[in-house]
Amino acid sequence: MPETMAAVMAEDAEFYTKEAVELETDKYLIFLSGGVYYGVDTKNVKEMLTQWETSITWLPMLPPHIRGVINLRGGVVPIVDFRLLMGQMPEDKFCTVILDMEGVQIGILVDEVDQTVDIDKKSVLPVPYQSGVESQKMVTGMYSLPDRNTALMVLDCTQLLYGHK
Amino acid sequence: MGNDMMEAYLYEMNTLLESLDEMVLGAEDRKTFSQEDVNEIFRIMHTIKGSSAMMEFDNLMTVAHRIEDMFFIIRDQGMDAVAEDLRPQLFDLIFQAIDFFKAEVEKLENGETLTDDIDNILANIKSFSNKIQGKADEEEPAAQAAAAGGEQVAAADFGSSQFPFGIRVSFDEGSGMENLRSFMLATAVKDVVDGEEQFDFYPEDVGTNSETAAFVVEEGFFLRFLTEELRDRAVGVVKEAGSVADYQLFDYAAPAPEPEVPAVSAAPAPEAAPAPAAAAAPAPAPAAASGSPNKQQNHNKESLISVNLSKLDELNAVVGEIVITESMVTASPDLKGLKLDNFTSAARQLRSLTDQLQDVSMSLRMVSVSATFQKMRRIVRDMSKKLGKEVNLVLEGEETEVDKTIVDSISDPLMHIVRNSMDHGIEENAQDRIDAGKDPVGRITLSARHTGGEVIIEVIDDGQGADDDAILAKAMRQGLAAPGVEYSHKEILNFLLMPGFSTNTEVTEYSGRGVGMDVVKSNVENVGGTVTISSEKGKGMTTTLKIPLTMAIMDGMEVAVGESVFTVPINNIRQILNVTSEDVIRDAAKGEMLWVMDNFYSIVRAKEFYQMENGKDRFDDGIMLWVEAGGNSFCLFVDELIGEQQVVVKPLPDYVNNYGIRSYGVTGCTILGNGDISIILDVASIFAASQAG
Repeated sequence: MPETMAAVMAEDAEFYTKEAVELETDKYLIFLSGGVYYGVDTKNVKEMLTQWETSITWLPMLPPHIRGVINLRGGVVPIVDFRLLMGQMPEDKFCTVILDMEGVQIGILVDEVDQTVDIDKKSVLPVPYQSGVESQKMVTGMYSLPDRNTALMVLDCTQLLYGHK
Repeated sequence: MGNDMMEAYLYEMNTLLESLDEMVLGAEDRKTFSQEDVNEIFRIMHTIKGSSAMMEFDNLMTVAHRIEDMFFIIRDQGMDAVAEDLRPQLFDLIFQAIDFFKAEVEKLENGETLTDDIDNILANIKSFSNKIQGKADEEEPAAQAAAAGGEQVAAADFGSSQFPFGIRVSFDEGSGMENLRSFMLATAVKDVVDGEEQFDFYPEDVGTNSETAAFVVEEGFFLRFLTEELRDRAVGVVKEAGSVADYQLFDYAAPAPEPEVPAVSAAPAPEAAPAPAAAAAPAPAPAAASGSPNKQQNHNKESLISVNLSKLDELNAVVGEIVITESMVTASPDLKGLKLDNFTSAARQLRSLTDQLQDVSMSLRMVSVSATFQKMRRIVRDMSKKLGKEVNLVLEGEETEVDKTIVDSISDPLMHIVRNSMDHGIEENAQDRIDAGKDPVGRITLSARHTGGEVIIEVIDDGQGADDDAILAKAMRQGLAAPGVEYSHKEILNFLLMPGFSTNTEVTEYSGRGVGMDVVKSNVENVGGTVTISSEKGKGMTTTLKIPLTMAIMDGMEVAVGESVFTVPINNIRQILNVTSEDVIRDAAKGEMLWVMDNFYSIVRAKEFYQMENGKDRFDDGIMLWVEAGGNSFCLFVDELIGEQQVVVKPLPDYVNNYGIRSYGVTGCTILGNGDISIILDVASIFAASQAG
């Protein structure tokens, strides 16, 4: 699985280098959760697992969005159901994205992983303030996906890891 | 500046200071320094000076240098130079210096800036140096000059009226055997100046006295001539001689007639240059020690190397993985039903080797509690002086080995307990002790020993003990105890461990600084240990710390509840029982209890405790674990036993720990042979949570 992602990213990189490179761009991984497109900086994406590779151990006394922990090659990584975290409906189907922030890892369950895309930092727009929407704290910006006629929510991984308390 | 260098420096400083502390404490008991001690202090100060100069910590260098100077006098003249009545002052002075060094090292460790304010300590050293110099022999101008002066001893001090024209020679950094080099040089000079009547040299016994090497390193070697013409001839020889780093000319009693003379005082004295001092450090010590037969000293240190703790942790983690992988391979389901004789015997050997590997890697982290105990000596010494209480500290089982993390985590709690004993435990006056029929000298015993999987550390004092009424009254005032409730002796002592409790009404210098025994308790609990206090009024108090030997690997019992697997530490399991519903007694509040070994114990159902969906409800279907931790005992009901297994404890990610699952007994996890994760349960926390809920 990691190999395929690397291949996708390499392909993309090849494609995009042909375009104007003077733009300050970040590469984002797009995933779908509850019908909404989200993007995370690929710097923070460690790997992706399919549903069948993810055997989650349930832990007691935790809020429902924390599904438990997994054994990732000897490391114990917490798994958060992103849909529940965002207040969306739970689903049985999922794909696990392992995020890594300076060695601290967390896995998020999402509907499916889409593709990577280069985003010009300047075209990330601020999120209009909506009071009382807790899950919005983790979205730091919005970006309009040109070919899809829809918006991408740019996720702040640090908020995801540390913002819950 | 390299981080490695800094680390090495801090390590060296800490080691030196610790051994210095220990030695001076021993010497204080004997009320004198042996010649070996003096040499050792001299050597340590020399090393501190050298390495501090190298790191450009000038304040540390200066203080070390002054102490070195002071001990130069003592080394030369023996402890007789220090009158009996001055000795306590000397010990205090050295302790003050050690504290200064320790404080500065701590600042370095915390990345703080060093203090420039060393005048006070320098003044103390200086005034003491002057005192012992008052007794010093007049024939020792070198020692006096070294003691009174700074680094910049003018070469003219070593001039001679008979031979007014001098050359000061300094040798290459760390060339060694400076005294013999000086002697060879003097011999060579003798040849060119036509005989020994024409000149002399200082120190005059370089040829025979190896101790002069240190002087030559520090101050230089002085050649003095009758006439200027002779000196000019000698300069040629000095220039040609090997290992000569530099030389200056000077004239006796001449203020500054020649341009070279200012260069003398401006020339960097050896100690100002960082490298020579460090490199030369070993030289004076063996030279100094050559007179006394203490050659075995420090041999044990050379067989040790220091390793970064994180590397050890890494090693232990890998070994843990190997142990798990080994059982994954040898117990692989693919092998089921196959008859593999060769494989089985190879697997058996692999098993015994991995066991061995695990034992060795675990033992790497084990250190003796001796260093921690020795630190307490110092605290007892300082406090007994300050409080005017005479106390003997007795150490037992110093050689007991425990995991490094445990040693680190008990250091502060022990210090706090010892301070408490000194401050509150031991009676104010010796007369009170005599009246109570005790030895006027108080006694605090620190003991360490192993029992099974735990290390037990006790602090026992023979002081006035705990006054139940006073504690209870205090607990009432703090709102910890409810009025009108009968408390047992044990419960009253437990108040001492509660947050916000401090029996002393006023804050003293040593204890009662707002942190109480509750901090001790939480520190010890952080490493999985427990604290208990026992005391009898008038007899003293015993504080017992029970700490698991190591936290990284333990024997666990795997149990299943619903779809989850839990690990219960074998240490906590007293008995495994098959019970029927009839055995269980229910009280009015629907609490369930079990009658075991003449006592009632409450039952905690794991399924309900953790609000799980699946799991067995009928006692007849499941199994009962009678568990105990921290003096509390209860029964834990689970679905079934899976089996006993040695497990590698892994912490849970902070992300989930932040939700407070620790207080529900979920303290860690382990990866089983099949790759599944099992949750390690902390029995003490489950008990506390089940009582609260």
